[in-house]
Parts: sequence; C-alpha cells; structure tokens
Amino acid sequence: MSVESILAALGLIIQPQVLLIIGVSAAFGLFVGAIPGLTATMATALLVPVTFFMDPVSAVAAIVTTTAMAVSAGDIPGALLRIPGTPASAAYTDEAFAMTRKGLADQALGASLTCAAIGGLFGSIVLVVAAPILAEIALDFSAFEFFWLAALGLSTAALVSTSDRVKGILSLLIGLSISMVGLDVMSGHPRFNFGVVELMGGISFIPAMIGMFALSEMLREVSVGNTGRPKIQVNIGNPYRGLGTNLRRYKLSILRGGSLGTGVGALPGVGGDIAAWIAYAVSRRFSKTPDQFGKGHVEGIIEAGSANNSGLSSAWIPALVFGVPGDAITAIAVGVLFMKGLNPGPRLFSEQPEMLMAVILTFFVANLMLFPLGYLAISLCRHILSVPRRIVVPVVLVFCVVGSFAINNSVFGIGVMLVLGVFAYLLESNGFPIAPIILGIVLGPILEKNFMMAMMIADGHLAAFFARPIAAVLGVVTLGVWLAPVLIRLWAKLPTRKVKR
Amino acid sequence: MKIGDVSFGVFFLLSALFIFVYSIATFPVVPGAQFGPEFFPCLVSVLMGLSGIVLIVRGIAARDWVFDCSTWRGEARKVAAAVVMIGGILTYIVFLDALGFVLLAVANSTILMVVLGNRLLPSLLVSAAVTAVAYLVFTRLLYVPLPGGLFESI
Repeated sequence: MSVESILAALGLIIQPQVLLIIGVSAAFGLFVGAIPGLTATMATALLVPVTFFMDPVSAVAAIVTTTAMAVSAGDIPGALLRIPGTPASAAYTDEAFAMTRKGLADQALGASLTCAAIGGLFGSIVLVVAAPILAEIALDFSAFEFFWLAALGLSTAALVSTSDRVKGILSLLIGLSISMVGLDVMSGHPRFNFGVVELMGGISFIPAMIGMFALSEMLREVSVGNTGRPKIQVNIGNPYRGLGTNLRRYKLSILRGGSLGTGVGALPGVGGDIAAWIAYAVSRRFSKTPDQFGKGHVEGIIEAGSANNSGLSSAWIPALVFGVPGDAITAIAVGVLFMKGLNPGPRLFSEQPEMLMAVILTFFVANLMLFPLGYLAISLCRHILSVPRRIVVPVVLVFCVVGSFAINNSVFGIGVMLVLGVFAYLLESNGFPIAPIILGIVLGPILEKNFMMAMMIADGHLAAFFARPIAAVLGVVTLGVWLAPVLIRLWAKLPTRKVKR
Repeated sequence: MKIGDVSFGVFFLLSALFIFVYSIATFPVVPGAQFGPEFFPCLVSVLMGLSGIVLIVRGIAARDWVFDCSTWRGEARKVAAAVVMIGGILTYIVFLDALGFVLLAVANSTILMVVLGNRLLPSLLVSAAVTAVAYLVFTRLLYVPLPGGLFESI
C-alpha cells in the first residue's frame, strides 16, 4: 500500500457527498442499534436497497458506518433495559444491567462505547496491515483453495455458532438451495425456475435478506406482543465519569479483547458476536477479581466491548481478501460489492487499490465517529428508547416493502420478501439459525463454481483437493470442524474405558 | 410458533426428494463434462434428506411433533396484527400497479398501527409522514420509480 494510493483513497472519501452519507448512516445505525428489537443486521438489510443506487465507495461507507454504530449502540438498551440491541451485546448485557442497578449506568455505557471505538480502530489497523499481505498470498490461490475457504466459512457458520448442529447444517443447505435457483454456473442451463421469468436470474438476494432479517423480526415483535414503551428506571449521568481510571486499570483487558476479537473475527464464517462471548469468558478466567463478575463489574464489559468492534473490522479481512464473509453482515456487504462490480478477492487489491483503500479508511472514520456520536447517543437514549414498538413495526414494514420492490422494480421482490420472511420467522422460532442461510446464498455460487472447476482440473480425482499445501491445510481444518464433535465425544469416553478394564 | 422437529424433518426430507428427482429428471447431461448442472443440487439434496431423517428420528424420540401456538393463543390483537401485516404485504403485491405506492403505504401503515393499539389520527399522520419520507428518498434521491397508481399524474 503506497502513500499515493492512501492519498488517492482519502481523496475518494473526503467528498461532501460521502461524508454526508457517513453522517446519516451513523445516525441511522445508532438509532436502529439502540432500539431493542431492531438489530444491526436488520439495519444493514434495510440500508442495502438504498446503497444499491449509490456509487461503490459511498455504499460500503454507509454499510460499514451503520454496522459499527449499530453494534455499539446495542449496548445501550442492554445496559438500561436488559435487552441487548444486537446479539453481539448479549455477552455482557447482564453485567451492564447489574451496573445500572448499582447506579453505574453511565460508567458502563461510557466504558463499552469507548472500548468499542478503541477495539474497532485496533481491528481496522490490523485490516490495513494484514489484508494486502494476505491478498498477495491469495493471488496464487486456485480453485482448490477457494473451494476449501468457502467450505470452511460455511462449515464454521453452520456448526460453530449454533448449539444445534443439525439445524445449523439444514439452515446452510436451505441457503445453498436458494442459491441454486437460476442459471447453472458452468453450463448456463436454467435451474429450478419452473418457467417463471423472474427466477431466471436466481432468487434476488436483497428481498430475500430483507425478508429474513427484517420482516421475520417484525413478525416476532408482534408475536411477543410487547407494543408499549420500554420503561427506563434511571437517569444517565456523565458517561465519561471514571472512564480514565477504568481504562488505565484495565488496559490489558482492552488489548487482550481487541486482539482476541480481531483474531476470531478474521476467521471465515465466524463473526464479531462470538468474539464478544469468548472475550467475556477469557476476561473472567484471567481476572484478578473473578468473583465480582456478574455483580456489576466493568472489566468484562471493557474486554468484550472492544472484542466486539475489533471483530467487526477484522471480519472484513476474509470478506475483502477472499470474498468469504465472516458473518451475516459481511455476507450482505460482500453481496452488495459483487453487485457493484467490486468483486472481493485478491484481484481487487491489485486492480483497484484506491477503491479498496477507501473502503478500509471508512472503518477508521466510522470508529473515530463513535467517540462523539456514542456520547450523543447516550445523552439521547431516553428519547430513542421511548419510541413505542407499535409505531416502529409499521414504519419498518414500509421500508421493507419499498426496499424489496426497488431492486428490480417488480412486485416479485415483495413476494420473495414475504415468503422468505415468514419462512425465516418459523425457522428461527424453532431453533434454526438464520445467518447460515444468508451465507449459503452468498457463498453457494462460489462454492459450486470452484468445486466444479477444481473437479475439472483434478479430472475427478478427489485426492487433488489436498495436493496443494494451503489447500491441504484448509481442507484438514474444514474436515476438523465437521469431525470435532465426534472426536471430542470419543476422546471423552477414553478414560472411562480404561477404568472399566 | 413451535413446529415440532418431526414436522420440519418431514418437510426437509420431502424437499430433498423433490430437488433430487427434479434435478436428475430435468437437467440435461452435458456432453464431455463429468459433472453437470444436476451434481450440486443432488449433493445438497442428499445432505438435506439425511439431516431431515435425523430430525425426524430425534423428534420422535423426544415426542416433539406438536404444533404449539401458545404465544399467539388468546391474544386476538397479536393474531390480528400478524394477519394485517401479511395481508397488507399481499395487497402491495396484487394492487401496487393499480393503486400506487402512496395510497397502499398510508392505508396499510395506518391500519396496522391502529390494530397494534395506536389511535386513529396519530396513526394516519405518522403513516403519511413516513410514506412521504420513503417516497421522496426513493423517487427523488435514488431515482427509483414507484408506481403512482391512482395518482399517476402527480
């Protein structure tokens, strides 16, 4: 990454239009993240139809800013109402709420938002440094490596992030099935379109996503029946009170959380939410005062909060370098990049470095904006949180409909949104995770195309999939993810067998 | 709404069978290629079928095959809201070209807000405001044409 490309990228960003879009997206993200029931993924889903019509840099800037803000803002209802605004905040919701009950809500929020910004910046720095290096390596990747990467990403998403493995696999298969509708990747033969013209191009990704993440969430809101205003008990004081002391005392936690988040988030198929959970557990394990956890102790919040946002930034490393998204949000963003002609992958780094650099720079801008905007959000949270659900749901619905219609200017999109939305609601109510579905939709074509190409190169010999060194490693890791539960169970049985003898 | 594992298992098994049979029967054999367009769907459907069977077996073992609509039962408002939501979206699909976006959006939002418990006048005002914002953002800012329907001339 030369200085010229960085300056050129800065030039792309420091445009009034882009900065305005970043500002509006930040406000949007904070708003949506702070309202319980509206998640960061939903914010992204609703934003995509709007970004579809923007230029690539603005589009990605909008998505990155929105998600960074939404994930951080999700801490607010978590601390005040014990309802996490986004799944990532759920790792420390109880802790934050306990702090609120002790009258330390402002400290909890100040700490989590500041550490989110710090973690996010840390992850962004790693992104800047690591991504080009990885891209160099990835330039030599063949169909085998890409196949295993896609397989690894899909496998981890299906098997690691949920407790019910069979349902995770089924969600993944649903996503893959949806991706198979359209024209076959190798022969061009239409598949599963049943004579319907609109399906020739496949099931449109954006209405599918809006349905699965936004409509299903609205159905759930209605089914829970909580249509009133959430009650907030406390007055929020100054979020910066005691912040300096906390940061200094727990600087190791910030560093550890940031590194952990970056490492976990960078794994294909694993996103920022899991990083937060792991960081919280690690914080408790290595804390000097573990008994204080759960009673309103800021240490866990600091570590998990920074892991959260650093994971968010680093999840873009596999997404940008390999085109293999780390979680639902990056999957959505990768889908958008494909549609804009900015195909993520090693070629993107060599052919359009300034565009890519601009994307990475927006991470820095977004995370830096967390400092002032986070403060603003905390001050305004009373008002944001008072919007009753019975107004929020219909409003979101209008945007769902418009968004689904706008992509192809066809009511078929609205239909896709409806069908998949209801389906996703039923699935999620019964323990099926939704993220693997979207990953299946986005990665399905990549998986199939590279598999077919690999088979052609290998002439049908499966052993060739492990012939190249990187492919072999990736392949073994992927198989490991599949076999891990079986192996662990066998391992656990060994000592008892010895005892019986 | 809880639908038992057995029902889901059966659904997935049947879907898998459908995908498998449909792929084998209708996709052409591509001359010269070892694997044609039917390969991936068949692979996916086999895995889906197996997983479906696992769900069925698990469900039967846990006696988990009942429908459980208890979160919805007894609350007419919730059911009405869901019906209005889904019905509303269907009206968009059927009537969007005829009636236009603005009319449908204001009507649907107002009705849904009232069903969820708001009073009529505020619902109407908020719906109108939201629709106006959505319309302006998409038509003026993003140049996406939204059907005018009855208000084609505006």
